[in-house]
Amino acid sequence: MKILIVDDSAMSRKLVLKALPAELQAVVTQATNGEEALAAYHAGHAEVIFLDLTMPVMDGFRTLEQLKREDANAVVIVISADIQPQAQQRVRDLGAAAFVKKPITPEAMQAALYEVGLI
Amino acid sequence: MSSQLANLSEEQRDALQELMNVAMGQGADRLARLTETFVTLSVPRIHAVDVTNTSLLSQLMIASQPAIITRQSFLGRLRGEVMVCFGDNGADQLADLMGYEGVEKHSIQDELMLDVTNILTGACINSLAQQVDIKVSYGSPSLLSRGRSLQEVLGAEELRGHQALVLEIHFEVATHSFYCDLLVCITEDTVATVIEVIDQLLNDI
Repeated sequence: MKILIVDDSAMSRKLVLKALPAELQAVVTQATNGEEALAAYHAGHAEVIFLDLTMPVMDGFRTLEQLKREDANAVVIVISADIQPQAQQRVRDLGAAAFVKKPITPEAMQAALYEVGLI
Repeated sequence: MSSQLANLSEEQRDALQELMNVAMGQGADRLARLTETFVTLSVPRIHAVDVTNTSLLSQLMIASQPAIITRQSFLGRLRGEVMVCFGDNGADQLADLMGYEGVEKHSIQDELMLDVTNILTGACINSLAQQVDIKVSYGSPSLLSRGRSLQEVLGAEELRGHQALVLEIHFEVATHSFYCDLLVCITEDTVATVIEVIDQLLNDI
């Protein structure tokens, strides 16, 4: 499965990588902001996108909006430190398949993948 | 003594910044509940600074501008104090947002600033302390200065024996915008705890 991890923090991207279950057999691409994420998506590097919200250049809200405008079926799982209920509702309204709060754990990853029907 | 915090590697700085990102997310959530609005959070940026050389603070946008500055101390295996610098009209903005008017608005401003100081200091220091499972206690927040710049205030303060991190964070609250910078001053003898936190974070991944 082609996975795109989008986060400006290298440590946070590593945590997402570490939390991915081995059985997913993921081919992973990484991006540090929304612009890079869109370029990777256009290049066909993503079936599932793990998206941070608070990023420089292009934040996760705008990235999610753009992705869903281009492809309503894009599977986006938001992983964010912004845990306000309004933020979680907003990403759901924009079409995110799941919301996971940072720092991500393998258990939270499993739950999110289960929620979107990937495991 | 050379500053250990100023000599963090890129990897260590990224780890600390991400820890603060999570902490500020919790702080924003509490702030949102206080103001009953949605808080938009900027990407936190961290810089280590030498508090005894205030000219270094001139790199920071807020350092030379008049500000409202509050402080709150913390004690334990991690010791020091957090100074929160609000924009000059930050108190006004916050009071407006919460619907205060007239005389009441002016009397409530300091209390609001201290509430926000307590929220942000707690979020920031707890995130460090929880990582290595240590207890930290807090002093009461207080108003340090109004209308002077951080540079002027630090020039007058006795901060020898401290190393400092500046956490730049910008909150946008509904139609009101206010920013604040946090200056996290850590005593030299407990800086090792911060390094331990960072190294543990990196070892865990």
